[in-house]
Amino acid sequence: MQAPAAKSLKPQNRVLWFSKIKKKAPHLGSDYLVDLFVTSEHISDALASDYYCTVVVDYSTDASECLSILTLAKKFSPQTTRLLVGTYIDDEFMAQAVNEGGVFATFLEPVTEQTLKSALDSAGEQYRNSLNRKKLLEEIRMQNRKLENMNINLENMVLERTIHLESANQAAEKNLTHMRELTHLVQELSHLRSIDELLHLIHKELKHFHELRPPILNYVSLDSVAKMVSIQGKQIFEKTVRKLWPSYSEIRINDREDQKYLANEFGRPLGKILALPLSQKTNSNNGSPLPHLYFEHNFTDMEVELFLASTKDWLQPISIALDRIILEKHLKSTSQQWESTFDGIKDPIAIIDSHYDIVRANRHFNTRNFEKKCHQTFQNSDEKCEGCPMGQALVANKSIKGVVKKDDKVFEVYSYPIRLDGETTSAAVINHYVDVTQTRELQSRVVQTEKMAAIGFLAGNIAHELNNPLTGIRSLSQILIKEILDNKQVREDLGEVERASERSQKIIENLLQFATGATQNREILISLNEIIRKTLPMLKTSFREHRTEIIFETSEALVLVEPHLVQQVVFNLVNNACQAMVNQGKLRIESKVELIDGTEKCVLEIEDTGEGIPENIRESIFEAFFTTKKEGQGTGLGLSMSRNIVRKFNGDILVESQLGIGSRFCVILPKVEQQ
Amino acid sequence: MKILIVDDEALVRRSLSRAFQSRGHQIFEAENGELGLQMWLEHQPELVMLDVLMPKLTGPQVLKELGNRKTGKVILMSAYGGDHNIQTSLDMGADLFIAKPFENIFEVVEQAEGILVSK
Repeated sequence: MQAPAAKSLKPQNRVLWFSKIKKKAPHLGSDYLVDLFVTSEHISDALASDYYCTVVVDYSTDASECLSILTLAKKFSPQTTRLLVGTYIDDEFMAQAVNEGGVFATFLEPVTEQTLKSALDSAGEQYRNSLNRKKLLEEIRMQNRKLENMNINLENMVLERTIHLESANQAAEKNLTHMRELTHLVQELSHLRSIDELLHLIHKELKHFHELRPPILNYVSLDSVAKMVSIQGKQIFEKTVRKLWPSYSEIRINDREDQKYLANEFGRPLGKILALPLSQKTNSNNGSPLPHLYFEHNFTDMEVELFLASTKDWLQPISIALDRIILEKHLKSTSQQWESTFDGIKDPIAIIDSHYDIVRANRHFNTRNFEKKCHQTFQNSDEKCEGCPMGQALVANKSIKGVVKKDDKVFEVYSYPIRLDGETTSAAVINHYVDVTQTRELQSRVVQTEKMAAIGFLAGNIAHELNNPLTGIRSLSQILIKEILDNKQVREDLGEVERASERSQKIIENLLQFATGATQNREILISLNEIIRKTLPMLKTSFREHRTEIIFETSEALVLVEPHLVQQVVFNLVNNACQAMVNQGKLRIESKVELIDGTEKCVLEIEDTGEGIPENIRESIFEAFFTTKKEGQGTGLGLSMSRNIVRKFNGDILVESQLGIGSRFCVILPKVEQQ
Repeated sequence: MKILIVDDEALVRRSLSRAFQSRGHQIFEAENGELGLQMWLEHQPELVMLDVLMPKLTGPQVLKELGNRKTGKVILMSAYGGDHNIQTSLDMGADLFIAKPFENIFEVVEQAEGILVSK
């Protein structure tokens, strides 16, 4: 194993031998190349070449020179093995040689060739090992350096990538911000209610462009009015433009045509103009120019690009918002017109669906709280209004009229069936309520007055017609009574005839007075008694029908009235009293003078033993058209007219009643002192 | 004395004529204004009891027709009383107005005779 190694090492087993005494280099065979130096001259160059495996110094000469060579060798070729050979080596030198010259081994002469060779071999091996190590180290260093370089490259790459990613990130961020801004804008736009707000919003959103003046908006309203809206200071100015603006579908930058147009409208020169067309769906068919947003600006070309890049996405949402606002405004004004029309009508009007729920109603319909159901709102009742024709109208699908009472008012209700929201059959009605209380009352009074006049006229005629024969009968009876002296029986009979005709004449006289009173309207002084007495004969039929027992007590105090009117009151009250007594009852009629609140009054009491008046309707009985009687039996006007008549003469009618026991009506009139 | 009674009501004519006859007067009766006018001119009565409302000619129309041919005293009788009517009838030449119906026929006769006397 060693032989090949030795063989291969052969050329490298080089020895530098320094000896002052040797004449020639010892011959050690071909395995060793020994260079002998006898002086120290050139020795440093040789050592610096790092060519030798071993340096051998022969210590027989100058000790300091030997030490200096060893030191040189250690310095220039540290991996070289240094050997010291001598016949004698003193200890001091030995120590110096080891410490300073780095001597590896010393040999005392005579040294055998074998020993020398072995020392040289070992030195050579050490040298080679050292060289190898050095080489290896170098290689490792090289590798390290390579690795380091790679590392640096890698770091650079990472850095580069990071920068790339960051810029991409930034772009994405920018994009996101843009989208966010756009979303925000769309959101803000959706809340706008007017063109003014729209303009303010655009102005606000673009405020950070310092070279941009406030926006100007041109558009055409739905009623085809071309408008220009602009911001001046903080205020919005809207005006109708005289001339339509140039309309193109592309954005125009600093176009002379736009500049000229706006300058004309504003009456002042304008700077550079950006014209941004918006789209308008609401007016797209009628040839109107597109709405335009104008900005006066002082941008450079570059800034214009930047501005447009950041705002071009806004045009679509702004267009949509503008469209919506224009449409809403139009709808609102249309519906407002209708609303104020309906609210302006004094009659209550309501649209009511088939469930009696109010769909819409005008102001006069719901003066009170607005309830869901029409009858709750109109009559404050959970029941449907009596007489309301809407149910019938829906079934018959044609307009029907009805009469509904509300409190003390009477309404004629017209139900017109209508179709809502494209339904095929009528599912709702328009209910139109007309207050006819006054008209009806007036009408009834007119009818009543005319009726009385007609009756008066008729009664007058009949009275005259009857008067003639009655005059004859009475006169003839008077004559015959005088002439027949011998037959007492016949005379008495004729006396009856005469008295009967006299009574008849009285009745006719009363009737005539009543009839003339109805057409003359004159207040006279008269006692209540007389009035009652003159009225009662006309009520005999009522008394008979109701088998009434009459208690009649009177006083002769005077009142100032139109007798025929008070007769009507007596007539009404007595008639009512009789009708209240279904079975036989007692009717008490009393006229008296009473002290009421310190003054003397004439009081007429008419008291029956009828069924009485329920408390809940006791006040309503005096209202016009209030009646508990069956249809055809009463007009509902009797008590209302009676109260009006009595009040006309500064009096009043009061009522007291107990259910099952009877009612008492008191007519109170001022007493007049006879002069 | 000759008394003419013009009235469309037979019972009135009858009772008046009976009452006047019992006092000895000569009575003529007419049942309407036209006949009344004719008999008035024919008999020249001293007193005419003249009803106002009658067929053919009314009392006032008879008076108007008669004009200055009128003879004797005239008593107008009517159920349509009232101050206005009384004054009107007096203006037209009547001497008295008696309201119908009569309370007492004999009082009427007395009033009539009172007029005849007061000449």
